[in-house]
Amino acid sequence: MDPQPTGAVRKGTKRKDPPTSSADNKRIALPSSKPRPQKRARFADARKIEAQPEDAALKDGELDLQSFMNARAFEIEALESSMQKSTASKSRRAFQSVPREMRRRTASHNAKRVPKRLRGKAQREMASDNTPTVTQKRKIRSTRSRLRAETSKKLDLLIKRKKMQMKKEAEEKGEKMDLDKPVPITTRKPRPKIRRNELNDPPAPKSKFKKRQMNKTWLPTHIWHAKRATMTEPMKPKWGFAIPLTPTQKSYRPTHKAIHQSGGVIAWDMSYMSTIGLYGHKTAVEATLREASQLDETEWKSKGELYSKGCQPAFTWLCYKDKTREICPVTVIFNPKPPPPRRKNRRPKVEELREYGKREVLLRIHPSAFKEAWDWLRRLTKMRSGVYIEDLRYEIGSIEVMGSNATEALRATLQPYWTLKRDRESDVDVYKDIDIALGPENHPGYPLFGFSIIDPRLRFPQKKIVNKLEPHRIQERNLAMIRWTKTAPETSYLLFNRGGRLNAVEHLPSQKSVNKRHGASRPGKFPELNSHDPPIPIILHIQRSPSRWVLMAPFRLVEPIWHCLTKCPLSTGGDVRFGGLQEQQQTTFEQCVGWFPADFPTTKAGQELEVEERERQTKSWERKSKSKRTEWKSVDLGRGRKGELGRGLACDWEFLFGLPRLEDMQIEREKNKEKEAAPTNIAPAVPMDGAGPDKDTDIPMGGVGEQKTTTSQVAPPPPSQPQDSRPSLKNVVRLSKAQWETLFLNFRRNIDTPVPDLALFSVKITFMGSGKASRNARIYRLPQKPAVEPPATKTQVPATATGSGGGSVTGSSLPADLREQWLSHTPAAKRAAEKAQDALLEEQQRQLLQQRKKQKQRNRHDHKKDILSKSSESTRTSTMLGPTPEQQQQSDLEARQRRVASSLFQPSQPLTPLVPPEPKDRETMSGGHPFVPGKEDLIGFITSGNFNLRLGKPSAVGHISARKVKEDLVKHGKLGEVATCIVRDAGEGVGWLARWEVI
Amino acid sequence: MVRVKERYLLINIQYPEAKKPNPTIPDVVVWHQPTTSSLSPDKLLRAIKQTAQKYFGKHGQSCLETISVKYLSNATSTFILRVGRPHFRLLWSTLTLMDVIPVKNGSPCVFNVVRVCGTIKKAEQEAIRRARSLVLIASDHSRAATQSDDTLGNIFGGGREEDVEMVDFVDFVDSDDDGESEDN
Repeated sequence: MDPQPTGAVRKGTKRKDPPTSSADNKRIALPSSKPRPQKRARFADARKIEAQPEDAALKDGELDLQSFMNARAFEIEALESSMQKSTASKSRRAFQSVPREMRRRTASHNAKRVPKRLRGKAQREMASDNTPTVTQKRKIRSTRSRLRAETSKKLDLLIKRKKMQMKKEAEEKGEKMDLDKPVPITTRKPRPKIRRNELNDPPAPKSKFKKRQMNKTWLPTHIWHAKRATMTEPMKPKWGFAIPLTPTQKSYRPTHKAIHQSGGVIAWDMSYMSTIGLYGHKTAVEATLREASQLDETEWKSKGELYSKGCQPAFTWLCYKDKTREICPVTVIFNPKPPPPRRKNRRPKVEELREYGKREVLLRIHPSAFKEAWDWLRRLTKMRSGVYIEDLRYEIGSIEVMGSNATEALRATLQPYWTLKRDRESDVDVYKDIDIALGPENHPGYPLFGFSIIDPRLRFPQKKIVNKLEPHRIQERNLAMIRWTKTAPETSYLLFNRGGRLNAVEHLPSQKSVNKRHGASRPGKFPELNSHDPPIPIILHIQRSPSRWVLMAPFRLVEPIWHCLTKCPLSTGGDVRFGGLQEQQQTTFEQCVGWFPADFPTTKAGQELEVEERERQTKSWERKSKSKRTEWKSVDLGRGRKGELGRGLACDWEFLFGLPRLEDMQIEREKNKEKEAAPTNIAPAVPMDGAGPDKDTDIPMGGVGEQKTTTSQVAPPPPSQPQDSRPSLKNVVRLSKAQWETLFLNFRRNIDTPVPDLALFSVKITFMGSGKASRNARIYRLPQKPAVEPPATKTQVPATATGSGGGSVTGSSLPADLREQWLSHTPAAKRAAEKAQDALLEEQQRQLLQQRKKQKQRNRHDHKKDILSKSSESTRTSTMLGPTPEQQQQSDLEARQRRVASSLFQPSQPLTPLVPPEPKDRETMSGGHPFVPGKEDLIGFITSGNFNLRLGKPSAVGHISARKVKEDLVKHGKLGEVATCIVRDAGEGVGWLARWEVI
Repeated sequence: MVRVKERYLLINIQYPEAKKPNPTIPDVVVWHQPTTSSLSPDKLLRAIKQTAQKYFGKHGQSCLETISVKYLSNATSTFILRVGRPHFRLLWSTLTLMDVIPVKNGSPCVFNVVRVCGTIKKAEQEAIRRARSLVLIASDHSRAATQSDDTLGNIFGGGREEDVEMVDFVDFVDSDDDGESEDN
């Protein structure tokens, strides 16, 4: 036997485990590494019910009452324990029951991380498992915190002493005193200040959350979202807010399904949208609005009345005076019943109120453009008397709801506060009759409701609503709805009233009291309203593309509404989903329209986002290893052209127009600011950008701008020149669809329409065949014919030569028929080619028949000859067509058939070719793609592109240069050809045929 | 998701023909007397399948191929059978047709199906309820035996016994209804 180490545990000779060192005395028996049989055994044990044999119910083999009862008692116990065991066997650990979509699941083995309701259970489980827990010891790290700790200790001591003293005094007086009861001190909460014409501070956060909101503001539903969504990075808030980017659960396809297939609702907390209040006398307010927005005279004449009476909101763009430079899209909502003017002597008449009364307007804009819009509006209001603006960013929040069941969810959640006829608001009647079966996309017109609702928590859980309307009355109701959108509401909207908003915020019952009232009310009944419940003012309207309900409510009351809305049961059985920024972009993209600000590079907000995006992409590109990232200099565009046009990681508008880089401009501007600030030491009240637009407006639509740019391109101005005189990306404007239509119509009528040099059309792009496009993809027009090279293209060499290889090869090296090559790939051309081929086939058939006739004749002739001379027989047999003596024996028909068949397979005579021959010199990219056109044909970039689930094929949104489109139109004239473009992804050599359409 | 639907039958073995060995033993105890320990789950299953084959042929036998005994208590003459939902009536009628304990020299008995449930939990709950009521009745009897002069108690005790049978009957009908409704 092998010498065993002393103290070895093992007995027997059979060794299954390798021998271990002598130090391994205290080997702990490891748990078996087979969890499955264990689990099975556990389940089997849980299912087994204990039972007694016959003897248990007998006493000495005889029936006995007591034993009978004991056996029963045992049975009861056995069955009960069995039920308990089987329930316990399927029970889960505390952290396993945290919902999947809740983010904290990853760290929830720690009892401190699980939700409060599960914390006790988790702690018990951890204790029973002996899970080691760590309690973090607080270290005093800085002098400041040490001081704080000492102070708090001292304060504690002081409080104790004070309490003891008070107790003593009370005892002397003979009273009893409860030490734990805090001394109530009641103070009125300070109302948030709203200053006229000045920016307001965000609401003071709870001290617990103050530190986390140092450089940003939370949405009212921040905590709810933070558990369920990816938020913006802590140090990189978006537009001053912590915004949910996307839910943690997979949501791309579910989002699409919720909106486009029946039975879904998606809600967004859009409280980060900025609201600006515009107040003042009617004329001043309306003039300011018309000046600041694209509401032109004609639209104002036709619809101004509707807007100013509060019948429907106006959706337009805020822009500078020239109406071409846009700031951001805006929703304009008028208060239907403005406050009466204050007069001491007499009461004003109704007409007077309408005519001279004050107007209150809410402007809802995107936060990325808030600063710019605010500054511009501030400038305009400064110039006029009797008009002022208020910053209502943190006063009014909003929720957007999309999907076919959105109306149902909103109708169930928002219950009107005043229902009695004498005091209810005028919009309530229509709201109550709203057709819940119609989603926002199907509701006619632009309804605008303004009324007050009950605290939705008091009507929670919502009852399912049934559509009261019979199907045949739907048409009738739709007409009534359209009529209603044109009648002015009789009551004013409480949301405009600061007192109304504050009242709701201040008197909102606490969750605790709401719960208590729910507990006190009868089962199945909602608690009754009491006089303390405030009306919550809201405004509800529909916004299009994509269609959604927009609910505006006081900022702090968004949270209770949100909680109730997201738990609303739907008639389809689905639930209300929520979305983040990505979902918003996705839904907009699926409608083939641009999403502000990313798809609007002509606005300042869009440009800022573009710069941000460039930085982000560059960083992620730099992180990749060299072998895995695209080397922009060696992108092969065919025919020896190497290198990406412009910067590959950007929609390089500067390259397209030959302008200085946006990033350089920013740096320069900052330098200039420093320079300016240093000597004068006066900070301008309105920043440089605010001052800019007025100068820019002087650039007329046509020639001057063109000249300016050309000069700048030929000889770039010295950097010492003041930047405002130099054209930059800020001067680029976006032309509307109407402008494109006039351009096209005028061209048809041979009228020349001046088009600014620095102008873009927003286009929607769909591919003709297969194709793909993503952000930064390049858009080309069809290649121009080299003979008529437009002189303008020569000026396209960028001032800052960014495209390293792009400029090395001119367009002339490309094949002369490149345009035809591309055009032959269009579906129409392909159809035509097919037709031509069919015609050719027919022609061939005809020829064949003729040939056969001739051959027949010849054969007969030969036959005669054959009989005459047999010497040539051997040579004949080798040819297929020549009849042998055996064949002659066969029937005529068979011979003929054979001959036809053989002639089909071996055409002895040259026939006209089936397809026109491919020119031998035609060179293509791999896969038969024609070469992409040259640099001079680059007309724009794609700002967002992807596979579009709604269309079932890829689509994209981009921008193209108006001037280049016009050139093409003038030269070729056919809209079909002009609207055809070639899209090439950045970093790829292959382009795809597509069609653009101005949006 | 589709899942396999089962039925759980709670069955009492009752001995209506058993003779009282002792006049002091109440009827209810004789009626619900324990079953011989030689009756094992295997034997029970085999007997059921044989009976099914005898009366319903191969079809009957194959329908009951997958039945299993979830619980068999010889001391209390109670057992729970599990059967596929479409065949529980066949099993029920088979049990009705069985009249002896399927062992050597088995005593005559009745297999009384008292409850048909979709989950075993409900069957267990019913078994507990029945056991409780039996214990109560039996304890009433023992009290009555000690105070035999209490005529009123005797009368009510007797009444209670009748009640058990009534309960059985009512439940029987109920469970039938349950089965019907679940089938639909």
